[in-house]
Amino acid sequence: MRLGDWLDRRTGYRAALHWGLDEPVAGGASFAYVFGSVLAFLLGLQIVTGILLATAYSPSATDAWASVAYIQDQMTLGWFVRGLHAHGASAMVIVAGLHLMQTALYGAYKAPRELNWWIGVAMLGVLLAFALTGYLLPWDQTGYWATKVATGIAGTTPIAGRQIQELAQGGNEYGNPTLTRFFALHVLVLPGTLVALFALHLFLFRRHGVTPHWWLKEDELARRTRPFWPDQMFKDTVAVAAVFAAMVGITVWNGGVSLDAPADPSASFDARPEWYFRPLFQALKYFEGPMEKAVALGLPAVLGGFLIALPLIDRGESRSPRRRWKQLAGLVFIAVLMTALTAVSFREDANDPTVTKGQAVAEAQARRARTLAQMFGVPAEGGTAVYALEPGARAHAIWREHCAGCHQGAKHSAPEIGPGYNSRDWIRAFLLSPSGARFFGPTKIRGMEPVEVKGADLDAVIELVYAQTGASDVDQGKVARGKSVFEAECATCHPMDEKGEGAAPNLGRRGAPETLSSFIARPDHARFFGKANEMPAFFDELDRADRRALADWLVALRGRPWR
Amino acid sequence: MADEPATPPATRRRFLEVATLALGGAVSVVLAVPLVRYVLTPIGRKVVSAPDRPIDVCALSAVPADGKPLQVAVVSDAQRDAWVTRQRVAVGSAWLRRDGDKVVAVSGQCPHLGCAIGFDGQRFRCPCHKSAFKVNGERESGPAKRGLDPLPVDVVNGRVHLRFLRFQPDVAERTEV
Repeated sequence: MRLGDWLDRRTGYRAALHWGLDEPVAGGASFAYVFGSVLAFLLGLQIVTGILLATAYSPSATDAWASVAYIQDQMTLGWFVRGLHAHGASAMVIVAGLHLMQTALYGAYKAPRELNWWIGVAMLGVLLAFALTGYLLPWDQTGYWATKVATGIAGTTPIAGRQIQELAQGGNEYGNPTLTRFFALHVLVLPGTLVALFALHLFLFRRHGVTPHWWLKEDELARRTRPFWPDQMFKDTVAVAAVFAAMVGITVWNGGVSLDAPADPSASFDARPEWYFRPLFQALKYFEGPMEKAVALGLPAVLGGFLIALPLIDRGESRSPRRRWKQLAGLVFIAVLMTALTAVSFREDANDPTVTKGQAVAEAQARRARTLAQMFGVPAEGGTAVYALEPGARAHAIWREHCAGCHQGAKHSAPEIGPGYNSRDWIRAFLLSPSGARFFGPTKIRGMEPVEVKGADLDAVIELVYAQTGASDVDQGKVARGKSVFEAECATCHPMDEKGEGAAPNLGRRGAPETLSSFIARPDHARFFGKANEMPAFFDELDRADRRALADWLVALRGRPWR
Repeated sequence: MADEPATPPATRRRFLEVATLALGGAVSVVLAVPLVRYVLTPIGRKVVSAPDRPIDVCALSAVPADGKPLQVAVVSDAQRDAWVTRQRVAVGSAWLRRDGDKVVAVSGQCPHLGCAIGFDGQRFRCPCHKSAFKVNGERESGPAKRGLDPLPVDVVNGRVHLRFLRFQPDVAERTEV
């Protein structure tokens, strides 16, 4: 204890501990009083996890999603820290709600504690502002679109709506200043405000003490009074441990918290706000036109106004709930209304196939974006540029622009190309019906008759043609047999020696990437369709790398089933 | 309240104290371990990628024939910087010099503490702590513990390619990092 004495003489920590821990709790310890301590714990947890997230977060429109994906998928336990922070926010909203209900039930808003009630209401507002600003920071689809709705609502404020919106989003549109402003609010302004309010709240709480059970008389209360340590502290710690265990459980169970695909202003997205804004979200569905705006701004104002007015409405001496049932009924009505709206909102979503399908698509998109980000990093152009890194992304873009118009879809005007192209099944179907609707049917090419060989001979020819693509799973025995069948049945028109030109396309290495690439460049070359060709030559439009990328992509189709 | 005990029985009080500290300690540990591991993420990890192939820095003809050193920028085709991938990123500089019919290169980073060195016409000098090096890179004076770090050079089709290596600063032995 020598060190303790040394320290105490210099700091007076024992007196401070005594002040902090031996505060009398009127009427003795109770689980009804734990919510404040749980909130204090959660506040500390949010500060610590928030600082850790800030060490790896980049508040810029091009970097934000990438840095959050990096935290989520690449930093050691980053998913855990981020999950705790997100679920911690939810926990704070829930526990703050319980704290509010408990203090209201005990009449803690009555004189002389009205000021502390109002400070508490202000802190609840700050919590919601935290949630709103934090939701945008990952710059993912959900956060981006949901927050746009929120700032849009702010923009409908009478008189100065547009100015308020521009102030909030840092300009005329969403962009870098939106993120830097939201970030500054979320990590500097709001924490400073909340901690200051918390200190005031605690100071006033210590001044007036806990609001004790209303059903006990003065002398009974005094008889049961105990110091905060250890009785109340034990109950507080049990509650903290229970809430923390629940948060860790939820975090581990969900692998943290979801991160959607990067914000994409060009994609439609069915965004949902954080669950604690669901009541408002749902309420807005029931109103249209001017009423919608009135509800969006009016509902929060009415609820907040009721909470603020409560100490002024209920000024009676008695803290017995029976004598205050009207005021408490108001609170209960609000709570039931919010819960009901939330429940209806989630129920509607769960029963709406458009919504559930949209969610599945969004999840798949998020997985794709995050996998690419993990493999290659996000290009400096921004989050949505990850998709360009996908193998075949360039080829697919070329395909859509230059090829799909004729080769894909119900109205294709050239042989259909899709999954299974140049597979054995495709070759078989073609050989049996070269002028079929899916092959040369839509074109003027009619030179080829259906192949008449059957059975093992047909299989052998198919294998031979298939082998030309460069596939590795070729049966060489069949190929050898196929060659003799080919000589007898096909070679009159089709050369197969790579260079030769004949009445019909040369089939040597047909379907191999370099042949496809040459074909795309010059389908009218005598080695291919020659004068019969109807397809445009892409020699000028696509450079060598693009043609090769497209050819590789076409080759990849071969591995998929032909239907 | 004078006739009632002001404190609970000692054993109960003791139990509550121990249980509170144990429970609080458990929460702290469950929280602290992952948080510390998160903070330690960067240790031993290649967060920023280094160019792994030789980099084309200039034409052979650009290197002065009289043996004077030429400073060139080392620009990597691509760099992975934690969450971002960038194209054409300057990663450092090097000094090229003809040595007989060969071209040799030294890193532009001072082997003392990594400042960018300059050439004053006679010798290489570090502006930060006044280390000086001969034109061939040997240490001459100052706090540097070794000479300038040589970089492997190849001449391919009339272009100078060099491998940009980084070494542990402020040690006599050259160890790649």
